[in-house]
Amino acid sequence: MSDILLQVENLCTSFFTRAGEFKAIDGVSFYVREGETFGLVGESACGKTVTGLSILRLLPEPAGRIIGGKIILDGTNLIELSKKEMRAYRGKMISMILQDPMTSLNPVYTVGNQIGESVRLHQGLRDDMVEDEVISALRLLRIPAPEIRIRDYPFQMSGGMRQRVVGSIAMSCRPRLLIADEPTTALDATIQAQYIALFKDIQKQTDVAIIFITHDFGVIAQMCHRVAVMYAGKIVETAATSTIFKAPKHPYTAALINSVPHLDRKDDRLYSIEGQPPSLLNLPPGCRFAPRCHDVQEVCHQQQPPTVEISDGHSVSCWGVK
Amino acid sequence: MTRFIIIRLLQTVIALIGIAVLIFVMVRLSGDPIDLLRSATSTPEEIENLQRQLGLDKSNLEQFWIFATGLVQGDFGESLLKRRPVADMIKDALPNSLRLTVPAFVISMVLALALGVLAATRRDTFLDNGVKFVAILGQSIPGFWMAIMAMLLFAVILEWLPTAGMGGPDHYVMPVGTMAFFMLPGMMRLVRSGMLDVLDSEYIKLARIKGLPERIIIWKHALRNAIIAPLTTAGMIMAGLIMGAVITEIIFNWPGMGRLMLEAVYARDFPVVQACTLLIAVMVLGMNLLVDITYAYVDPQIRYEKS
Repeated sequence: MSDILLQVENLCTSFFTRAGEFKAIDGVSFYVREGETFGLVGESACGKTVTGLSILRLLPEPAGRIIGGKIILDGTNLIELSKKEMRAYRGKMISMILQDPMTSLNPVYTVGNQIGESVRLHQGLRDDMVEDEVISALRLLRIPAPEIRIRDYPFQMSGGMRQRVVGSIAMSCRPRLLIADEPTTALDATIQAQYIALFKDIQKQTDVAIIFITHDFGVIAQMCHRVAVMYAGKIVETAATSTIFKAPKHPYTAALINSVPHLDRKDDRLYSIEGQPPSLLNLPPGCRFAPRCHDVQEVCHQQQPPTVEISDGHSVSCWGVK
Repeated sequence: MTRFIIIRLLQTVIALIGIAVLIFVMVRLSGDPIDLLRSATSTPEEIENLQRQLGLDKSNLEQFWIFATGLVQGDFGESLLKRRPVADMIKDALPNSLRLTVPAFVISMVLALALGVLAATRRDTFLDNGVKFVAILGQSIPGFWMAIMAMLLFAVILEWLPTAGMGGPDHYVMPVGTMAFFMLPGMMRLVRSGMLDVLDSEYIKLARIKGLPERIIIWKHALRNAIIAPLTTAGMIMAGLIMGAVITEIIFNWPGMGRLMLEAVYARDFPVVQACTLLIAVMVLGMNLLVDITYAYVDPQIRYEKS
């Protein structure tokens, strides 16, 4: 539980468009331990998905580019790998689950074909052994009657079942790191709960480390050991999940947790944060949350706050935290 | 799948019966062939004689009965103009037409797929812009003008190729080339835009996440999805190919079906027009059937819905 599997240091990724350079992530650092679930939380367009795609080096070309930093997986800096070497890591060492199960499977190939492809590519198995591996991957995700399902096309399956197939593809080569990009957002609430329980179970069986990208604090609470909160391309606070919920230090984290609806609170209106995140094209010189912050000081508008570790494993970037 | 094919075959037969009736009626609306066959000094007796010889003195219903029963037995009647069995004339002309259309079809499809995919994967490069330019040019230039200009350049000015007529391999270059050029641009653009749509999709992203090499992503995952949309219009493009064949054969003086039919139309040679049109209808329907079967093969969702 203590070995560090992935270390991301000062990662910067930008998108170069005609309008200029969008700094999608700007100096992001975090680490993920073996077998733990690390949550990346934040609102839309804060850079969560771009962080995931940067780790896989699958940014949309030619606009997206990693312009600085290190991504060290088990001692290897992924940024320095050649394209071919990187391809050998994808699907084998690192895998990813996409958000929408309705569109992330190829409609013209059977699920067996799509899982088998990974197995054949990374494990170099003979055809008759591939099928066994595929069935065991389906079984890992608790898909009923995998021997029959293997010949099904995606359109013959429900959304929840398809997302399990996507999970089977991701887990088929037993990766060490799984990036789950809002895998439950497109599912309805009961299926969502099942899926999360399933992944906790799979993690116990396989000891895979998971980066769980979400905007939903409820999911974070159920799933993650540690959390990083992102805002406008930067991590503003990192801590153990229980610490984040009990004692959020950054005003943005506190505001985010506050805007989760509660059944036991009898508020008339749901709390929401005033204003909009800044444009990534034209970022303010100081703290990016300053224009929306309640406890804003003079210095917040002028200089970016340093990241300070206030207690073991709890770091915050805020001028208001001493 | 078998049921799907049987149903489509039955539909094809019904369509053919309808077409046969339509052709029979329409061709008779074009006027009386006797007006073209008789001389200015023919006496009424001579005209009556001619009508009897050609079977045109019988009522339309009787004529249709003769046409229909002949058809079933594979007898298309006799040309009014040349007094030869129509079947023999078609036997001469059809292979000549196929010698142009088959290579033109194969060349244009292979090129359309290859260039469409290359253009989509190298978007906004020199190659992509080149493909787009050629496609727009090809779709906006009338085919017959292209053919005449090619003739002027390669046969008259450069003297590399023979002007027209059938002969050795060099006689095929221009007619096959122009026919391929009729179909290529439309198909190429469809493949390109289909590929662009698909390459943007989530399942292509997932294929990359799996670590698959780009070659498999493009030719296995993307292409099969990208050709589903172009396939639906392929039937129409096929019909265009036959139209293109008529124009090409006339310009290059090629003794094929197109020329045979056009000459028959001018002469109101009913049996020949009927047979040629019907044969073309059979070919169009046959190709559409082929497209439908390919479509079902490519897209499993269609296959499961229809069976």
